[in-house]
Amino acid sequence: MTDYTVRELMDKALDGLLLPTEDITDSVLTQAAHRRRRHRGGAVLASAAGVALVAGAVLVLPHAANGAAGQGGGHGAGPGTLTAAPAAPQREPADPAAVVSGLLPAGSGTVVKMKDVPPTPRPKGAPKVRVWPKSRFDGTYLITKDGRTADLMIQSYDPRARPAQALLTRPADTICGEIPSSWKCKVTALAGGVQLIETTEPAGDYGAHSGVLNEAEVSYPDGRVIVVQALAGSSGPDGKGTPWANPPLTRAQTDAFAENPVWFK
Amino acid sequence: MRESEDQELREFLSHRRNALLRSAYLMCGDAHTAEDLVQSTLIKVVLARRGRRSIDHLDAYARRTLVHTFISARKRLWHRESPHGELPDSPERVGDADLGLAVRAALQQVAPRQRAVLVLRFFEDQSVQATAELLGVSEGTVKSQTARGLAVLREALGDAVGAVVDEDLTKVHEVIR
Repeated sequence: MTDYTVRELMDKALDGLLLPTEDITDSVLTQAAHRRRRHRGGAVLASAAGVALVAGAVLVLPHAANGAAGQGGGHGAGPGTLTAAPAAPQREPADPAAVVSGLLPAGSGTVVKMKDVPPTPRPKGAPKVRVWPKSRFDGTYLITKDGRTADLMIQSYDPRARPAQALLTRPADTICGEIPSSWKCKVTALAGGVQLIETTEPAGDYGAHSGVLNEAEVSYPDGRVIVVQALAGSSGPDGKGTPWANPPLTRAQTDAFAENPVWFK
Repeated sequence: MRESEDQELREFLSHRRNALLRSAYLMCGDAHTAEDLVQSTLIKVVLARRGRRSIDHLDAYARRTLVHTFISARKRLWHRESPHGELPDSPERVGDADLGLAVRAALQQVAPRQRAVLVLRFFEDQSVQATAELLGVSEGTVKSQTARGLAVLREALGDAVGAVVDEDLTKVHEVIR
């Protein structure tokens, strides 16, 4: 029986790999240019949402101030009365961004849900990528405050959903042994057979330029799974604007956010 | 200046793609996924190159981006992967022709970060220090991940090979019969 070095084994593993012959240089440069434009577009969108919020506040403020003046004799009108202003527009409760915004801590900023982009075209002959249906809450939300942008990502699976969604399975409770100890992974068994896995990834682990990320994954005994990732944002080419100093949700807040039953209603 | 930079970038994309693809293939175990990973990596390299004044070592930057992109993607999909806690009791013996297949399958039993460490250390011949810098972890972490990764690899290969030798330590760790 032959003995092998690890390198020799890896060379064996590469046997049969057909290296592509076509040059993808132009394709890569073109896609990079597209992505750059899209990032700029995203930043503009986030900025526009911020401007819209300020404009809305300016319009609502006089009403709130007047209302407070009428009730309190003109004294003590402050920011606290702004949220109670009757003139504040009601958002559709079904709007995912509004639902997410409503569950974030007060004063978190504006929330915009990113549009999904179609998958990268596959090379000729390669199997087509299947785009699975998903919950309307699934996706990436940009949270903008004071010109800085953080990300909140939601991914879920409900076995009852029709059409069927891409399967997420309950991870083994040994999962924390498979990921870096610096992520401070913790598995908690909650009441009713619910499993909570929480991690905190240090800056630079989620992406080369990413900030800190808090993640909570809740798995229910009936097969439902939800993963929530609260990322402080990313700088550089991966980013969508200047990142926050910390994730938009603390670790405990991320847990509570993921455990909210609204995601499967 | 921009033209010469573009030329350098084009040459890099053209010359380094296949080397990155080999590493990506070892990590992903699937040619199409590896191609996607390399393409995403190269796009990030172009964006970084054009967004910054200079990147000292384009090759090191690309390697780091490849590994980070791979680990991030695997981590997000960790619950779609089969846990490797229980391995088959008696792996089948394989001929030399099937060895490549067996090694690819065995590598998939190794956790993604450990797999990346093995590829960097043993395929790309990176030192412990260089691997630690690439991954942004301590040298101790690289050593422990290497040891764990090799243990899983050996167990997964079983009777497929005589012994897996860690060349770096120049000794046979274990002979699996």
